[in-house]
Amino acid sequence: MVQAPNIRPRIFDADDPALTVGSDRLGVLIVDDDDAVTRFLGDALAGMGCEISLAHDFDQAIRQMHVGIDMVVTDLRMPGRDGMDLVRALRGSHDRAPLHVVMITACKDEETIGLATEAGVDDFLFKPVDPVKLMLVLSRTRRSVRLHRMLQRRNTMLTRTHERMRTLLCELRDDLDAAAGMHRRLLPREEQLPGLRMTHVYRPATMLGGDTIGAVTVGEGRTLFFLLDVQGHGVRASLASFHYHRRLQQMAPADADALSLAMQRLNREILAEKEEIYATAIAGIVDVPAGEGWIIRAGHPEPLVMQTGGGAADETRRLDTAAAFPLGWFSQAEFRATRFPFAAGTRLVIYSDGLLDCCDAAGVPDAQSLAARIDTCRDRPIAAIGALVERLLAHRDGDMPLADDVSLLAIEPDCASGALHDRTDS
Amino acid sequence: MTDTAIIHVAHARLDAAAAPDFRAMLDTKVGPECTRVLLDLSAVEFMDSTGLGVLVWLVKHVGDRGAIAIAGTRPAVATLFRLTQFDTLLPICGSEEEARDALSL
Repeated sequence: MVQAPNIRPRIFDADDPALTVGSDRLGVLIVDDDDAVTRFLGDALAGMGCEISLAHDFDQAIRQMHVGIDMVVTDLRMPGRDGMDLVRALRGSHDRAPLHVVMITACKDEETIGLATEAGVDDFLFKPVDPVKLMLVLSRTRRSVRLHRMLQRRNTMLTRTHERMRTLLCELRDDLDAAAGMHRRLLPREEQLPGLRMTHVYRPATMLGGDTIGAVTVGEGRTLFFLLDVQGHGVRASLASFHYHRRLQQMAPADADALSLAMQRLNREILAEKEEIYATAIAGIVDVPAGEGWIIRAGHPEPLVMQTGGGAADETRRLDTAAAFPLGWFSQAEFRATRFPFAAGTRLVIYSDGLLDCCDAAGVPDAQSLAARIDTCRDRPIAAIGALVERLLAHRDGDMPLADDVSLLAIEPDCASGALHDRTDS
Repeated sequence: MTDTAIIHVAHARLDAAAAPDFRAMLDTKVGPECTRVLLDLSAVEFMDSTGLGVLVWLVKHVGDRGAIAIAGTRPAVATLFRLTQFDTLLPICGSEEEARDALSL
């Protein structure tokens, strides 16, 4: 059996040379104008496992400083610039490096010690140098250098891990962007729907949503339209809604019976997935030349209908439709289509419940309030409905993310279209 | 009485974040011998599709062997139940007493 490849990207690289434990070797620079002192200290420290460099004055010492130096042992009194100057120069240029600085002096007065400490001296050795104290100083240095090296390794590891995570996040975001783009390309386009005018709003709560809107021509003058809202949101809901959208398009039902069968089939297909996922849906067919349509509502809010140019009695209202369970709940569920008039001047508006939450009255989703708002667009072009909902969302969320995906589709017969005129003439 | 479970749901929001916890709780309290479940939702102010999915799972889990009654639905939850026809599956009662009557408890 072929093992699935491990595609989880590697964030931590155990072979990274920056993370390997370094040696305990200490590089020591001894700075003293007295050869006897440098020889004594050099021999003693070399005997304790140190790698020794020597300098006799300030300038030599600065030239000898390189990456491998972990500890500087300097005399205080030297001709020219003295040990104090050297310590200040080292701390000035190597402040971030793990450098342990030891000063050798015969002078024990408080002022000198204070100044040296302020300049950055870590330890003092008093002349004549006691070998035991030298060993203690070296041991402290080792501990300090070891700690510094460990911190450096961890910092390097964190920096690299952070960079890798950032790269992975960018890749992930690009992937999600690409998927969201594919989902968005499923949205209906008016120029592909002869005989209809439409507007839609599609606003996923996260980068990828579980809502999907579709409209496609399924025959002479007939258009299949639907709005599905898959439970939840994010990648899982989005993948499911993309798939269900495609299935409905493939089945392309062109009359009421075919629409019922398509919904039944999709219902059973969702149940067969054993994913414990479901979708609420509205799907319908409009026949523009015949001036009628059929609609199936599966666990979804009722559609709204409005009459353009009508009187006060024609205000936007909920369309009375047979109700069915959401898709994916019960295998025996039935999906009966309700016929409705779709003559010139009729607009049908379908939407996901995420939009109702934006029109709630005291925390209660309110379809009546949504109908009243949409009614203000009655005598304006259909695009005004989409614009109104966009304004509603902008007014509501501000910088706050939406709690649920929001989508809406409004359609009306295009009276100027040839499809309508053909039937009128015949 | 292990054949009866009376559950007062404490989550104010039964959404995607709360659903796994809610389902695990139901799984524990509604065992295979349980035939009557009273679910008090009076503390639940909001329920989304994922929360409702857990209730549908409960309906299938209890299946034909038993009965479920729900008490104390807030308006937002009642709207969700109505839109999805969930309220046709089992008695949605105004109070715990009514729900007890519905289950003959």
